[in-house]
Amino acid sequence: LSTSPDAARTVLIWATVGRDAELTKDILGEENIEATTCPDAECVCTIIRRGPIGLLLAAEEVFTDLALKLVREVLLPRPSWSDLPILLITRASAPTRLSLTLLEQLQQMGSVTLLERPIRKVTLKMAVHAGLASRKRQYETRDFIAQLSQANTDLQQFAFAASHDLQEPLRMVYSYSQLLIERHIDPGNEPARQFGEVIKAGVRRMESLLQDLLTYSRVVHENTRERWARSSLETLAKEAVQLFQTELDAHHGTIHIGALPYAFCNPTQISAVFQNLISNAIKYAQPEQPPVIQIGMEDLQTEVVVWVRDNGIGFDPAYSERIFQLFQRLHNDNEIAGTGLGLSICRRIIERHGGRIWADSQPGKGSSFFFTLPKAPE
Amino acid sequence: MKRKLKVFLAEDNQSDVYLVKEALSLAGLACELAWEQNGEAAVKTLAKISHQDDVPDVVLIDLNLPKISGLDVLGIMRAQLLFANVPVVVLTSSDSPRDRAAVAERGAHYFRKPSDIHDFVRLGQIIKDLPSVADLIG
Repeated sequence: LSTSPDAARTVLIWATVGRDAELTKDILGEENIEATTCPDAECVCTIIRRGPIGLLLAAEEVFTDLALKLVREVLLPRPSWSDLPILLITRASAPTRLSLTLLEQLQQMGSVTLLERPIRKVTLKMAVHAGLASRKRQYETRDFIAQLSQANTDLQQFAFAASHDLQEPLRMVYSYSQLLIERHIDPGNEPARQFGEVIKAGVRRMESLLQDLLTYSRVVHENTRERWARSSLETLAKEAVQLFQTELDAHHGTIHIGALPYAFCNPTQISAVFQNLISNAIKYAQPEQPPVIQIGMEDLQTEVVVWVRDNGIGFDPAYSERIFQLFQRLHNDNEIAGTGLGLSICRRIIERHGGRIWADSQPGKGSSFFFTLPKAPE
Repeated sequence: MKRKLKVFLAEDNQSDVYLVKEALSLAGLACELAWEQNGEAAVKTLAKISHQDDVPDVVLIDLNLPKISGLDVLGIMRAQLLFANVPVVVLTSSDSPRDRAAVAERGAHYFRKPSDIHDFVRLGQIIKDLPSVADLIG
């Protein structure tokens, strides 16, 4: 970010004939446009390496194979926000054919405009103005992206630090409420004991909220590419199911897992998604009916759709989007305990993998949760 | 027990100091407790010790100390011959795998401070079970 958007305003004029270059520079000078002239590719490369340029104005004949190769080396690869305006002066009447490969290669380096000789002065001036304005906007966009991404990082760090540092005083509240209740409240003082239990329950709830907030804020920085691996979704699903076996047995529940493919992902995080969805399927089971959970997939060409289906209480489809939002719940904590963060964590994980997650349900008719992941190459 | 257990505690939170004392006393450990409230003071106090007889039997260090972090205090200790083999328990409210690894690497025990006091007082038992302490208690 060393350069301001205004810095990239010099036009680089590349022409083998010195007189042409000077003439063009004078025309641009009438418009107060700064220009530098270059006779060859070496000069062009030196100037581009020295700092950003606003626009490249080049005559078609300067692009020998070697010249093109040299310029490519300094202009490629380019950052995604950058699109250098290139004005290519061609000779319409001459028998030379504009080589297609030249145009294709130039287009990889920037956005190419062709100007055919003879060029009216005003045409040249207007084309250069338009190119420079576009270039300025590109640098402004670059700065804007940088600011946004900094703000985003700050916000993530804030969420992490806040949820982390709030845990410490909360632990004190719990420990000392406990000391107070157990050592200093007369066992016969039932109301005082009950109030104490309310304090403890409140702290426990806040602890789980903070724990989930921490998990939520960790999704991003724990999802670095180094942690991705080709992973068997079937194994991940089976491992997740094992964690709930006791709970399932207690409710006489059953889980059927179909064949699932491999995906390129962060296995810990995708396992967390399975755990969340399975946990929900058990938690939101019908009161008098054992949970029956099915996990399967639909194999599309480039991605796989995984679904987790249950026969639970379901929900009004009007809320199928809301349940993925932070802290949004359809039941209060006395009915079914939860922080309202589980599905938000799932969504964040899946979206960080370039996938989508959604749900489908009808009250009393069970729920289906779907997520997509890019398939791993064989 | 032949003599009182010499415990050195580096902890900035007074409420935790109380809980640590509770844990030691509930485990039936008769202790002589020295306490510093920040990392710098802890390092200075330990630096004054020059004789093997004055070395604490157990050192308890909070991870998140003011001025010098608990991990650095531990590192400074381990670099000195006198403290190279002293049993250390690092106390922390966080549960970061990175911290756990760093503590293990410096040859110390890791104790995550729980909010339930009945879990907290298990710290006393952990100290009691340290081989050198068990020898001392006899």
